[in-house]
Order: sequence, then C-alpha cells, then structure tokens
Amino acid sequence: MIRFGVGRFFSGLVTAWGVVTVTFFIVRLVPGDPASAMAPPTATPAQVDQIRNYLGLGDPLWVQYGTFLNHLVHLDLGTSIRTNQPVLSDLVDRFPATIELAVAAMLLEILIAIPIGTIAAVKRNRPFDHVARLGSLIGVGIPVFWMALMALWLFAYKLKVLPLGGQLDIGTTVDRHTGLVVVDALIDGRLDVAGSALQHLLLPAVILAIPSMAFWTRLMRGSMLEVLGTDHVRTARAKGLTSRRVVVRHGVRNALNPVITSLGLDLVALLSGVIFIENVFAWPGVGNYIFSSIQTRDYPVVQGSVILITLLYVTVNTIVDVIQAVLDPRIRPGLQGQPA
Amino acid sequence: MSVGEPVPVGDGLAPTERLRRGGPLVTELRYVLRHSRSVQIGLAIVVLLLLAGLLAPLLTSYAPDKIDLSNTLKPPSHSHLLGTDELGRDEFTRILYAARVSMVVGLAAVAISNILGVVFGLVAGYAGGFVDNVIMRAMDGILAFPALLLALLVISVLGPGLFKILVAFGIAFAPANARLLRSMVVSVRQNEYVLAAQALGASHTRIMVRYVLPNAVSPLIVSASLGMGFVIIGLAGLGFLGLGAQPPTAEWGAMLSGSQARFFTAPWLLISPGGMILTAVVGYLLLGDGLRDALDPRLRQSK
Amino acid sequence: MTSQLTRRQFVVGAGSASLLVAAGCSSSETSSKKPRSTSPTGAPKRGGTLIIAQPSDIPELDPANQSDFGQLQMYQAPMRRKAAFGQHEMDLATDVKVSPDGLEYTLSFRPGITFHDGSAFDAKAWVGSMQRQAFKDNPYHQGPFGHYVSLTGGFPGKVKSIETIGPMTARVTMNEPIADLEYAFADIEFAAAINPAVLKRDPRHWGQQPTGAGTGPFKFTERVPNDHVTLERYDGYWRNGLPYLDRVILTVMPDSGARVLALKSGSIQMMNVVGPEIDQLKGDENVTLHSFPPYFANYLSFNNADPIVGKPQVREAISRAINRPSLAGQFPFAKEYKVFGSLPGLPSYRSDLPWYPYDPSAAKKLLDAAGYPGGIDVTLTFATGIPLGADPQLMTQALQGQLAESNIRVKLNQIDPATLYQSSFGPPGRKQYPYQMVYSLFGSDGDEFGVLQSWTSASNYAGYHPKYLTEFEKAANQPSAQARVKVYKDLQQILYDDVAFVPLVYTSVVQATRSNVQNLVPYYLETTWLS
Repeated sequence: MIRFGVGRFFSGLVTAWGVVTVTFFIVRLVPGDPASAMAPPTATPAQVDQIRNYLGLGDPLWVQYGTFLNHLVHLDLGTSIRTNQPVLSDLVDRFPATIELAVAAMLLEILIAIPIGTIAAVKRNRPFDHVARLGSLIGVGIPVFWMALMALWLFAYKLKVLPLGGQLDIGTTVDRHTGLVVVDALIDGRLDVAGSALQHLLLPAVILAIPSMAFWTRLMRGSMLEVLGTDHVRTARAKGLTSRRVVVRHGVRNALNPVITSLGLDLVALLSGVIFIENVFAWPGVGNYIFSSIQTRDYPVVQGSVILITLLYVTVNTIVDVIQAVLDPRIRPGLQGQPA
Repeated sequence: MSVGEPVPVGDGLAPTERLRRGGPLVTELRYVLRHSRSVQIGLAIVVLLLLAGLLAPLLTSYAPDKIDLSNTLKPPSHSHLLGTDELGRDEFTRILYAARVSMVVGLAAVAISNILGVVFGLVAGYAGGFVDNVIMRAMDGILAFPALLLALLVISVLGPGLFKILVAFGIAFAPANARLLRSMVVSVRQNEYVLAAQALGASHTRIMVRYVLPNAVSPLIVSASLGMGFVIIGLAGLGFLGLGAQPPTAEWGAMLSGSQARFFTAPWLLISPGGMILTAVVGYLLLGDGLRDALDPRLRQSK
Repeated sequence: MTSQLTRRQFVVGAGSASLLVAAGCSSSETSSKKPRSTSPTGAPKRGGTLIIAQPSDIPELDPANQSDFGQLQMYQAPMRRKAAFGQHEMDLATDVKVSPDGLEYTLSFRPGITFHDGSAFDAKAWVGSMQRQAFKDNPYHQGPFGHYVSLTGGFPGKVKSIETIGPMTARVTMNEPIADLEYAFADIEFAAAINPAVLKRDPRHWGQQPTGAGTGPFKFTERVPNDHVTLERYDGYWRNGLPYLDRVILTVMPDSGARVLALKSGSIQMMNVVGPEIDQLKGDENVTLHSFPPYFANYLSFNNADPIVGKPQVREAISRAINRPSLAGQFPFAKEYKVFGSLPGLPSYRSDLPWYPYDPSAAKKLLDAAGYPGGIDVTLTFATGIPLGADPQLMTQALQGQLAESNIRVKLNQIDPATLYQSSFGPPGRKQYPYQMVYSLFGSDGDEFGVLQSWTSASNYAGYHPKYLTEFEKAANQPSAQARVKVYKDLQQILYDDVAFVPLVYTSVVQATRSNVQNLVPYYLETTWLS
C-alpha cells in the first residue's frame, strides 16, 4: 500500500514536471522576444524588463529552464502588470471566494447528479431516462456565460427571489477569518448574514454546477449500467435481494468509482467555469481575476493561473487515486502510474 | 463549459469476432445507423449544420459582414429572418457563416487530435516496452492540461486567433485518443493474423497500417464525435472572452458576448447564437453517445 | 495599470474603466441638469444610502495615484470645479494669487476645516501633501505620482519650492510657468490635502484604508477589495448642513448586463452608461438618464511616419469615405463633427473649418492620386472597455464596413485601454509608436491644454508629428490665457490643413440614476439627496 502511495506520488510529480515543462516550451515557442509578447505591446520598459528577468531570457536555454523551475518551486508565478502584485498573492486573496463557489457547486452535483444518474440507469430506456439524458445533453451543451445572465434576469430581476450578485448584500461585510463568507459569518455568530450569503451563493453555484452535473449524470448512468450488467449484481439479484438494496449496496458503490476518479477533472471544469460566470455575478474570486486579466491582456496572470490550476488538478488526481486505492485494493494494479 | 475530455469507453469487442462479422467498421456503422435513435437524430443535426455552413451563400442573399447602418437592431422579420445586429448585419446570415467557423475549427481540431492520437497510440501500442512508456508518459503530461486552459496558455503567448485555438484543442485532445487507440492496439496485436503477418516478414509499418489499425480504430469515431461537441463549446467560450474569432468574423461565442448588453432591447441577438451552440453540441454528443452505446457490447448485451 | 493613471491624463486620454464615474461627472461640467431638468421636488431630505455600481475594483484611494468618484467625495483641493464648463471656485482656499510672471502662487486657506479624524487642517498639512509628490527625498514620496509628473515634467520638475509662509498661507514657486496650472489646483490628484497623521501611519499603503485622510463631505469607512468602498457622511464637514446623504457605497459589478439589471431593479441607484445600456434603460420610468453636453471627441489618429497613412491624401480619402451622419445615428446622444474643431464650448473652438463630407468617389480618386488605385490595407487599433464615448467595437466595425466600400480594407486590432494608454503618455524610454491608425477618444474638463495636447503630442496614440508638437509647445510658454487661445486656434488651422486626424463624432456622457436621486450635479454628491 505504502509502495503504491509513494509510487503514485512520484508519478504525479513526474506529470507535474511534464506540465511545467510543456508550459516552458510553449512560452519559448514565440519567435523573437517572449517578454515583449507577454507584456502588453507598449508596457513600460521596466515592466518588460521585469518579465524578461523573470523568464531569465538572455541565459542559455537550460539555465532559463532551471530559473523557471526554481521560480515554481519557490511559488513565484510572476507579477501582474495590472495590479503590480505577485500573481500568487493576488490568487491567494481571491481563492476563498472561488473555493466557496466550487464547493457549493460540487455539493449540488453530488446531491443531484448521482441520484439522477442512478435512477436513469435503473430505469433504462423509460421516460425518466430519456428526460435525464436529454437534460444532461442540454446541460453540457448550453453555454454557461449565456445561462448566467438569463438566470440572473429570471430569478433576480423578474421573480425577485434571489439577490443580484455579489457575496453579500451591498455594503455588508464580515470579518475575514477563513475568507469563506458563509463560514466567517457563522464563526461570528451572525446567522442572518450567513443565510444571506447562502442565498447569494445559490444561483452562481447552480449555474456553475450545471455542465458538470450533466457530465456526472452521464458518467454515473453509464457506469451504473455497466455495474448492473456484472456478475455479482446478477448473483445478488438471484439471491433474492430486493432490487433497491441491490442497486444501493452493490450498484451505486461500485458505480461511483469512475465518478470519484473524475473528481480532478471536475475541479478543473469548475475552475474554468468560474472564468465565465464570476464576472456576471460580481463574485470576487479567481475567475473574475482571470477574466479581467484576459480583457486587459495581463498575460503573466493568465499563465500563472493556468499553471496553478493545472498543478492543482494533478495534485487532486494523485490524492484521489491514492484514496481510491486505499478504499479498494483491487484497482491498484490497473491504475499504477496512470493519472486519471 | 469544457467539462473536459470525452470519456471514451473501449469497444471491447474481440477482434476475431469483429472479423467474423465482415468489414470491421462499415458493417458496424451500418448496424448502428439502423438501430440507434440517438445516432439518427444526432446525425441529422450534424448533417444539417454542415449543410448550413457549406451552403450559406446559397441560403441567404446577404453577406455576413455587410454593414447597413440604416437597418440596425431590427427584430426578426420577413427580410431578416433572425433580425439584424447593432451594425445592421443580417443575423441569420451571420449564424450560418458562424456555423462554418465552428465546423472548420471543430473538424480541424478533431482531425489533428486523431492523427496525433493514431500515430502515437499505434506506435506505442505496437512497439510496447520503452517506446510505449516514453510516448505514454509524454501524453500524460499533455493530458494533465485541460483543453480550455491549454488554449488560454497558447493564446496568452501567441495572441488570439482561430488557428491557434484549433491547434491547441487538437493537441489537448490528442492524448485521450492516443491512450484509447493504444489499448485497442495492445489487444489486437496479440491476434493470430498479426502474428502470421509478422512471421511472413511483413514490415512493421505495413502490419500497423494494414492489419492493426483497421481493427482498432472504431472507438475513435465515438471520441471524434464527442470531441466535436467539446471543441464547439470551448470555441464559443473563447469567443465570448474575445480570444477566438476576431471581428468582423462571425462566431457564435463572440456574437453572444456582443449582445449580452442588449438583453432587453434585442433579445433575438442572444437567443439565436446561444441556440445554435446548444443545438450543435447536443447534435454531436447525441451522435457520439449513440455510437458508443451501440458499439459497446457490454451495453448492447443488457438490452 | 489604473493605479498609475491620473485624472488629467485620463481626461485627455479617456483611458480607464475604473475612472468612469468620475469622468461621467467631469464631462458633465456644464450640466444642463440644473437649469433644464425639473427642479427637485420640495426641500432636500436628509439620510439614505446611495449605491453606485462601477465596472472594476478601486485598487486604492490615494488621490495622487487614482482619482475616482469616491475620492472626489473624500478629498479636497484649494479649488474645485463648478458645474459650468471650465470654471472654478475656491474650496480649501479662500484666495489664490498669481504673480504677473506666472511663477509664484500664493494660497490662503480657509480656517476651521478639519480632517475626518477631527484634527485641524492648516497650510502645513497642504504643503506636506504637495511636497510628498514633488520631492524624491521626502519620506512620504512613495508612489508613481504620474499626474504630478505629467504637469510639472519631473520631480520636482518646473516647481522650485512649496512652502508655508503663515499658519494658513502657502506659496508655490516655479522655475518656469506651467500653462493652465489654475486647473491643477482644482485637481484632487495634484493638490488634495491629505491628513499628515495618516501619511505617517503607513507612508506606502495608507491609500488602501485611508481612514481619516480627507476633508471632504464624506469620510472613508471601509474598503473590501474587489467588492466595495463605503463612505459615510462626515458630520464635521465645513460646509454647514451638508451633505444630505448618510452613506455612499461604490460597489464593483463587472458585467454590463448585470449592472443594468441591478439599476432597473433598484438594488443600485446610479451608474455610468454607454451605448447599448442607454437603449436598455430608456423607457424605464424608474430610471432617469442624465445626459450632459458633448465633451468627448471620437476621432482617428495616424502615425505620421507610416508610408501609407502618413500621406495627407490618404487621410483625406479616409475622411471622405466615412459617412459621419450615419455613424452618429448609431450612438445615443452622439453628434457628427461638421467642422474641424476641438470641442464646442472651449474658447479656442474653431467653427469655421468645415470638414470633408461623405464622398466615396472622391475618396477613390484621392487614393488613385496617392498611388493606390487598388485601394489600401490598413490596421485600425482600438481599445475596448473604455466606458465612454461611442462603443469602440461598434464604431470600428462600422468604420470597417464604410471604408471597405472605398477600397480601404481595414484590419481591426483590439487592445486594452491600459495598453493604448501607455502608448500615449509613456513610457519615456519608448522609441516608436506601434500603431498605424488608432480610433481615439479624448475628453475635457474645460482644460484646453489637454485637448490640444492630445492631438499634437504625447497622447496622439498613433504617433506625434514634430511640427505639431513645436507649435503646441509655443502655447505652453504663453503667459496669458488669451495668447494661448490664439496659439491653439492657429494650431487647429495647421492640423486642419494637414488632415492631421479625422474627427468622427462627439459624444456625451450619460449617467443613469434611479428617479428618486435628486439634484445630481457634476463631481460632487454633497448636495444630492434621495426623495
């Protein structure tokens, strides 16, 4: 077991190294001066120099590569041209808001996608299944940025049941302990504020969750269908266990595996999703930051964020693999050395 | 948005069985087309969209970039089926031409990812051992990049543009295909006819192309179809961010981003591009799903 | 980027999204609101919170680095602008005397003014605020102070000394005169009084949480980065009985669609609006649109060193290929340029230089004559995200379409305002202008110096022409205002003869408020109230 964990850790490390290496070479692909390409075309010479120093241009390629890795090891992702702050500190400031949103979205996914996917599989080719499948297709296909404004219009403007964006009512503040507004409000014992924060959270979380929800429903349904076709489920049925018990005890537990495996993928989907929706919901998170950096061509930020999210993804995948292996020793050999 | 890579399911069919059933691919596809409702609907949507894109100049009498400032923001009417945009351009025309952009970028990205996937998957699976290991680890490195973020990274260095996006998507989707093909190749490789061909002294290239590939390629059709769906929505997302097609090129995502601000006054400008993105993605996903279900024997059995 | 923009630069260059609210008000100088609109019903009512949405974060509140609508409520300078275009009145000062040679300014300050922490304001405090910008060896000289540099040309630049000559009097002495410095004493980014105790507290980062820093009608209470800034009524404000509002909240709402929804639903009370937003808010009975006269000019500028657009014939062809009345029809409150003048209302405005009317066949002939019978390919650069003037994306695409009919094939190059902005005002070491042709915008507080500057020199985004610059610099050295106006007028003639740039339309800035917002005047919220 420990050997597997260590092995998996190293293979995750190798993948992470691969990621940063690919990034390194993409940046060096630019003909001419990557620093000028990365900076807005007329950034001050000082700013271009700052980027040039950061990239270590002028050194031989292998030294540049070393510099690059050295920066990453020291968590130095460069400096934002727009805010003049280190990219990492900007991201860290904004991360809690995004985490709050992503966690809420993930909870919604679990609560909605898994039951629907399961039922759809059990009731295969019946009306419920057809509706669920169509719904999940639409969920994947509908552009979130489009849906976000529509939802805001419908729920906040027309029906007036939900607030119009932001984390809290305009002008309300909570003291920052964890950066998670709901949690901070609870820590301070301000129940009404926590409730209001949850209300603010609902709409963006649902919109953010929809594509992933659709994806998970599809995945869960497919996986469940496979499991229901396997021998041990048939045996269980033959033993006379009730169908509900079979589905829950034997079916869902086994069918969840691929869903858990794709947790990392889902995290990335959520973190890419926030780029499109935080803006509309005036949500002060990472997505908003990346969005406005794209708009202002603040590319050191875009790159730093991409590297960070990707590394996060690799990390989560590694952890998920190890946890899965702990829970279910059978899958160890199959996954050896292969990130999801 | 960009839920990530399609999750392919292996075909799992024993190659001998496949051979017994005749031509490996054509027969299967014919069977699928006859029996799967999803495939039929999906294919119909996809064909319609392709036709719409291809025949755009015949379907409309307007040019996509033709500005008519005396006719701006007109609601749908007889002369402008989907109304006009803020510059008086015919929305219907732009939607059609945008279909072209999506199709071209989608097909090109899928073609790149499949060609790369086939080459690397085939070589890795057939050669095995060290070569296999090196290729697959490299693929893992790329696979760790979600497609949208890879595209963002490329654009952040090279500047916006459709060509860069399609290359980025092509590369991002390649490893999944390579892995898929490799697993197929590994199982096909053990077959008697491959071993026989080796014994007869056929060259490796010939064996790979002639005997292995045709028997391993069918799952790629599924992933290509799903891939089209993901490329289209990814492209729309980048277009929305202003990183995709540059004006005046018509592209659904870019058209949407321009009309968000005209929500109350010109809702038709929001509905049509959004609807097209949705339709196109659903079409390709239906096609891909249907193909997968139909080609996957485990699911077929339990019918 | 925004932290380095300054108000004067902004007004010239109309460069920054985060400054839009201030700009909205700045350009509404000659607000027709007071005389034209229905006068506020009944007597002003006290209390209430005014929530203003803006598209981007306020990174800091040091007025020397960034001047926004919020800063204008918090800080005060010796003078301030009046609602009428180009006029001033005394604010912190009771009198500003200029010596005949224009080198010495003597300021007398109003007694009885206090900072938001209750400490007394005096000449020493103001001189300290000025010195921290001017002198590099000042311990509080922590920041770019770009606005100061753009006025004086360096640290300390043309300024020789800034000193107190009495408890309530100060003197600023120059090495050489600065044109239109009167305007600068009304700029809070140049001349605001900052509480010395606050500067001392944290010389570098005090602007992040400037509690107690200003003397204005509203005091800073809270800033949550990326979310909002809250200002509260300052009870010790020296103009008795003011302000009426209890609280002003500036909240960040990046998405235009969401802002419109918020205003329509009443969860915010005020925002700056542009093109499509105006259309959306038009028939809403709960929303009032405050339109102010045109003080943003939209024009095309050119790189004079470019082989194609460097030729006056080509520029004239471009001008003739553009249908300005049709363009103006596309943008709410936009008017076409019929003459080649700066901005109507400025003393130097030339109304006697009729501009080329739309004539595509003449345009083609001009191109023929210039040696381009097959037409030309040019790149038009524009910045998106400037929430002022005509919607740049729309404008440039419309231009693209119109010019194509005269065989002028335009490629559009979209960049962000900061980038465009950098190309005009800096960086000092930059050698070349990267753009061939730029869709530009300038606005004015009534400051002619800035307007002409934007045409002739540093802020012509596509590049400057040495000849224009020389002419312009003549104006800077004129001691009297009348003499400057003369030079400005001559300069416009030169620019006109050379087709130095192509004027398109001028636009007004539009402020949208809920209908219960009463007595909205430019710049200052102290007399605004909610019914």
